[in-house]
Parts: sequence; C-alpha cells; structure tokens
Amino acid sequence: MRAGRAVLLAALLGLSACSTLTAPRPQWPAGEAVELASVPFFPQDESQ
Amino acid sequence: MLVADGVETTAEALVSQVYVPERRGSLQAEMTAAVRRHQRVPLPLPADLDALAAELQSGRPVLVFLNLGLDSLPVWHYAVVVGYDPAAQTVLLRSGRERREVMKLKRFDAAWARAQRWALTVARPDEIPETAGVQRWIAAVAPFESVGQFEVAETAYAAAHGRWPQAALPWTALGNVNAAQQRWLPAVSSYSAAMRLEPSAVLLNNRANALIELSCPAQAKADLDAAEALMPTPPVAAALRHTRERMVSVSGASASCATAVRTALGP
Repeated sequence: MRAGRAVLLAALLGLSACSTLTAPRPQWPAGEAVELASVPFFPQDESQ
Repeated sequence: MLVADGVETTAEALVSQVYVPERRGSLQAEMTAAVRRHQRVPLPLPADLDALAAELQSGRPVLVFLNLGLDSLPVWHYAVVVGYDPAAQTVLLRSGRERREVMKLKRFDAAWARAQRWALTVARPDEIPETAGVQRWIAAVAPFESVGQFEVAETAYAAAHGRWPQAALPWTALGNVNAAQQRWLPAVSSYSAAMRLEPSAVLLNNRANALIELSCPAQAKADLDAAEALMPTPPVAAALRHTRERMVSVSGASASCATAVRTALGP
C-alpha cells in the first residue's frame, strides 16, 4: 500500500517536473516595477 | 477590485453574492454576475503576462484564478494581482489572508496555467481597459442588455465608438440596444452609421426591421433587396425572409417615415 502511494506520488511529481521542464520560462515585459498599493484588502477565510 | 474602482460595498456583501455553498467556492460565472450587479464591466483578459502587465501599468488590478496544487489534485484559489517586478521576476498578490504576498513568477505562471490562465479586470462602462479589443469589449458589455441594464450598455458602446471610431461594431450594438428599447429612430440612425463604415446584410436586415416599425415599407424593402444582393449566409437569408413577411403587414408610408428617412438614414 505504502509502495503504491510512493509510485503514485512519483508519477504525479514526474509529470509535474516534465511539464515544468518543457514549458518556456515565463517573463514579465522589461520595465519598471509596478505596485498598486491603494487596492484595498479583504482577508478571505478559505477554509469556509 | 470593485472597491478600487469606486464601488461602495463590503467583503461580506460580495461573499453573499458570489459564494456558492454547494460548489464550495466562488465560481467565475457568479463572480462576473456580481460585478455586473454593480454596473461595472467584467472584462476577461488575454491569457498572457503582457496583458496582465499592461493592465497593472494602467492602474487596474487583475483578478486571477490559480491552481496551487497539481492537475490531478487541484487546489483552486482566487487572488488579485496588484503588482509585479521585472527585475526580481515576482508578482504581488492580495491573496487569502495575505495582504501583500510576493510570489515567484515561475510559480505563479505555473499555477495560473493550471487554471487555464483565467484573468479578469473590472471597468466602469465609460473607461475601456488598456488591453480590450473592440469585439471583446462589446461581448463583455452585451449581457447587460439581457438583464435590462440598457443605460450601462449604451454608455459602454458609446465609449467603444470613441475608442474605435472606425469600427462598425459599436454602432451596430448601439442600434441593437435602441431597438431593444423600441427607440426606432435612434436605432435606424445607429445602423446607418455602422453601414457607412462596414455595410452588411445583417445591418440592412436590422435597419429594415426598425423601418418597418416606423411604417416605412418602401425603405425597408430597399434594404432587404440590397441585403439579398449581398448573397447572405443561410441564417441571415432566413432572417431576411422573416423580415419581409413582417413588411407585408405594413401598408403605405406614414408621416413619421419622412422624418425617419431624413434624419436617421443619413447621406
């Protein structure tokens, strides 16, 4: 059972690693940093 | 985002509008509907980082949908992107309980990609976001018509005409919103303006319908004849036949027709 879980996890991680390796590296366009500091924040309890 | 855009509401009030208990979360459809209830246009963004950056540069936060888990074991999450740093390759988020979460771009992009790169910004009807194209803007506004918010739609279509003066689509949409309110003269005027930019069988059919309502069968017939000469597609041809059948019920020209022809059909 434990071995089965390990294989499943390895398969999931392997798939994830493969897709990461093949994807082009994401990049922001060149320029200055931007921060919209005035955007209000409402904490969300995601355990709801 | 609504509050950032000047809407007076609270988190609690919004949660009651977008939280769907059976589905254990806020879904995109409920999210966009809640935005519309506050007379704001929910505009989906193109699925790329350049679009996100452009909206942030113009001062608009962007709501994104992320999968923080794996494709096979998803952990769905909404966050508001409020900034980015090209030098550090990071993204700034209002996220869950974190007011200012700094996330590596690589991690953000992977999580965003696993959620089909869904992103949405919110705009006043008269302020078209930076990355909007005319078709995407009109498509985002059209649902206001189906819920009877014609004023919002009209404002947004007028703004679209200002932004894209050479596009026929905003005039067509204005024609349709006038027709939906049975304002036939402005409808004819809008369709005529659209036809001066880009004539089509659909526009001729729509204008013919408005002309019938104004008791102008001769002008409507001229439009239908011109539309049929354009070799319309089968669905449009069917619409033209239907309009022609309606025309039979109208006999003779009325006094209002002369006014309509002079003021609305234009040159």
